[in-house]
Amino acid sequence: MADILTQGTHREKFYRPSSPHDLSCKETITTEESPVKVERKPVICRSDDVERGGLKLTIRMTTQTQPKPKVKGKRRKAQNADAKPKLPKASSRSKSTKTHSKDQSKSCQSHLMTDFFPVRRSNRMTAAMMKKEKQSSLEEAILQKREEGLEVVEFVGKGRGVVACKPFRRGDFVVEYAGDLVDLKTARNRETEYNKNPDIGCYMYYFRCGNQTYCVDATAESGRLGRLLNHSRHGNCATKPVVIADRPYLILVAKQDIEEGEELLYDYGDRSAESLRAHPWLNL
Amino acid sequence: MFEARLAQGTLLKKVLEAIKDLLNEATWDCNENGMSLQAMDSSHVSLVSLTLNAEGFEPYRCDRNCSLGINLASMSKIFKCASNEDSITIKAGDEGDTITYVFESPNGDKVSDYEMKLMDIETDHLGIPDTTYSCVVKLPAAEFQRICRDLSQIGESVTICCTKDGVRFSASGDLGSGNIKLAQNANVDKEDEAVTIEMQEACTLTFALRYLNFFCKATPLSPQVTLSMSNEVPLVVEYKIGEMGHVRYYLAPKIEDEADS
Repeated sequence: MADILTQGTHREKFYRPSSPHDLSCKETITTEESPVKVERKPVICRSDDVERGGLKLTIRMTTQTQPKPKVKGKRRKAQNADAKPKLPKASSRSKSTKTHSKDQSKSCQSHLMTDFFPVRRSNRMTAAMMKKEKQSSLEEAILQKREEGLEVVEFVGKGRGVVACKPFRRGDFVVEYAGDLVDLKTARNRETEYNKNPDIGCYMYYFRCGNQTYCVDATAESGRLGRLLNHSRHGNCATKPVVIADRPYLILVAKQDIEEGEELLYDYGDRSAESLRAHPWLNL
Repeated sequence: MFEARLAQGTLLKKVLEAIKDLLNEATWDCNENGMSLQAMDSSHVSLVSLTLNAEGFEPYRCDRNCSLGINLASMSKIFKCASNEDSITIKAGDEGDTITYVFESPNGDKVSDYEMKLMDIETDHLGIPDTTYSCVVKLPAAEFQRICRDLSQIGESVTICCTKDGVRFSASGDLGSGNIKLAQNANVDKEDEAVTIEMQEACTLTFALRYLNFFCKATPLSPQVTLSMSNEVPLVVEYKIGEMGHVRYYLAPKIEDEADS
């Protein structure tokens, strides 16, 4: 019911210039009449204005001696066959606003679009909606294992790396750091295992999500690109955990705007003396 | 930056003709998928929903979503300055409050550009639910236009009654009454002239002819028109715009006259 009333006032905003008729309907709104009838009212005068067009408008102006609502009512009668049986009532019409609005609306008025389709208050999105939409598109990208705009390139001296072949905006999803998601304990065990073989690179990425530490183990060659990004302390990407259906995923997002052709780099985050000794490039 | 070029400019001219009498002004929403417009007429009885897909334009560029508030009467006036063979390009900057139309003749030796002020339009956007309609009638657009025109001589409103035998349009008024009945006919040779009815349930609805006559301004856009109806919901009148989109008109049914019956 509140909705109907707001619709009414909204329309009034548009049609205020249409004068006494409208004023009278404002009065009815203040009384405790059924809001449905009240709601029809502004429609009548409005569609009347529209329907009759400019020509009738001038006629109305020449017949200024008569009160406007009455003129409108009569004209409507004359033109509308449906209204014929009610003609005798016409004289009393302008005196009683309530019956006026009621049987006019029933004789020849159309329903309103807004009776059927809800008004979206705005087609602009609220911040919350935008956040939600962003989240869902992110989830979609992760679940579809999207790896668009990336290219693997062989670099002299540091092996494979990934280069952007489309521009990324700051904050854009770049790629998932995909691999086995394992808990801390398993990860430690695996790492000791891997350390025995010097040919195996570092593909374990530890991260905290919520208040638990996880590790993505991407040691196994998988064809996914996330594991191939090289390290830089001043890289253009950053890791970010995202939770989808209670499972954390580790993704890389653009830390700044990235141009086409730039190598994608992020900070592996390993600062331990031991690692630095083993892999001096971590200082870069 | 928004830029869209349509080689077949006449299509846009027809689109404008199809909506400008019903809507004074409207907001074109442009995004990477194309241009769309949704607006109610001033009495809020009918609604126009128009879509032009990006694929139909060559090139189409929309860097960021934008809403272009346009006075359609003015736009139509400007489009009248384009020849039917001209290509039409619509351009709008990200910041500016103007829109530019460029008309180019097919051999490129005549180029005209027109700039127009944009407007701030406050509009209600309606959420249109996906509906399965109980009757879907396809008929030649020109036939529908003729029916609406003829019946508006008789009365103000038309009752559309759709059964499995066919669809009946009737009107009555001071001078009498009239009925037009179309039977289904699937003409294989002339697809454009076929009348087809897909029906789940018969329905009868009454609409103001005045609005239907406005809708019929879209007749040049498409050889066929689709009427989708269910009892007690708005009628949908759809015209395809070539391969690139559609214009849909929604019309609320008339209020039943129950007081005296």
